[in-house]
Amino acid sequence: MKKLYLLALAALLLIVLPLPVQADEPAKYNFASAQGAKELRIVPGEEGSGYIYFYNIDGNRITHVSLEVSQAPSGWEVTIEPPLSDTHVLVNEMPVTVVENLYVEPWELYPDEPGDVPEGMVSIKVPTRGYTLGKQARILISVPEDTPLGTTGTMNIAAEAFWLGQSGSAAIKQARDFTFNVTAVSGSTEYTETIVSEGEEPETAGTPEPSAPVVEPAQPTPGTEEPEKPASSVIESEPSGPPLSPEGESETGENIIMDWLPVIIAGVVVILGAILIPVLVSRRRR
Amino acid sequence: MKKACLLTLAALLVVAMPLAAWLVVEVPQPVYADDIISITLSDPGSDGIDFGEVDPGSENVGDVLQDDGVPAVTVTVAPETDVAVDIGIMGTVTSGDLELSNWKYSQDFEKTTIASLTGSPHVAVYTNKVANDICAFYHWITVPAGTTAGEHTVQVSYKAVKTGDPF
Repeated sequence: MKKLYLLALAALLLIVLPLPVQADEPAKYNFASAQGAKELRIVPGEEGSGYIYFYNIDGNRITHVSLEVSQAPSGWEVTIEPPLSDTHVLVNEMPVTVVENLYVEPWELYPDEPGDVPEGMVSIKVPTRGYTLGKQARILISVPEDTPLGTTGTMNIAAEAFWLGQSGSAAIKQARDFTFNVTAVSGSTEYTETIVSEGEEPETAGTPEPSAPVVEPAQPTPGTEEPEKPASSVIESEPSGPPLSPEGESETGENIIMDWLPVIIAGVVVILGAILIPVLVSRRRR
Repeated sequence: MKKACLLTLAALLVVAMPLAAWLVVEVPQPVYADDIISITLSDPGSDGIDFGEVDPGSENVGDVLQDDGVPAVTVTVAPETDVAVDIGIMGTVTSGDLELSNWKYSQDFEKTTIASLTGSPHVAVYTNKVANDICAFYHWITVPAGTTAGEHTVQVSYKAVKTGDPF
């Protein structure tokens, strides 16, 4: 009987002991970020977006993130989504209110792209390691209507990551800056170049002369950001999608052809089938 | 013959239309991101930096859990970080009247690189750190004689910037 008690006690200890060990696990405060396109092209009077992504795969504490616009050209309106708001948290069962834009929970790494992405999260490819789920902040930038084309502006977003439950005399946190360079571009998709000289009538040139001043450079898909180079990180399930017009529709002729290509192929298959199959059938009958 | 043609056409339409519809379904387009920076601060405990109770007149008392080879805070650059970074530090007094200059840090336990925390902007401590690099921060406090008893706290901020960018 005594042996049984001892065995039961040992088994209980084996189950219970790891729990406090986990609770007292040394803290790891992870602040991981990836930035979407940094060079944005926005039509004056319209709005464009930049994205910053946050994830937490090396930490064992929830990362709270607050964001603030620390630099923007005068008159340009910059807002952050989600905005700063109160989040109510229970820290060791004590209620705490924090002001933050978003929080990122520790998440696992997946070897393959996760098929199911919960609402409010994004799937993030972590180079050399796999995939994880994280959160995004959207930086909405409005360029004033009277901004001259070609004007560039630099936006800086200051991020601060902090962690709750630190009761020591010095709390630790992390800071990081994200910069976006915005160029005001024409809303027209057609390429036109007009040379204007004093005392002369405006004249339209078909192709630019090497020495001609560029007054109105052609800009692809204005009104939104564009990937600037092949990147090492791919964030998928992303609401912005491919470059879109301000109305949210693909504009270029190339895009339209690409959109309709499967239908065209299917039509060709149907027509060819309708011609060839009866021909083959009639040949067999003969 | 006509019937065969019509039937074939109908059959092909039945097959081809769902195929076309399937092909036209929008596949989420990847958004490219770069400048991936992932930094983890490791604390041997879970209290942040903790000096415990310190008597006035004490100089350079260390974090209670730090030891030779065990920094108060270890900064690790994650493997996916795709840019070289500089790691900077700054402090902000959050309570008490102990001046920021009394809150100190060093890169080694022997305090050969000891320096006082300063306010904004961050001061670079480690430069050109890449994926998998580890940076040690030992923390110290000096409590001058005559300091009023009570709670004295600071916030210590670590910042990673792309090497060459200003803090």
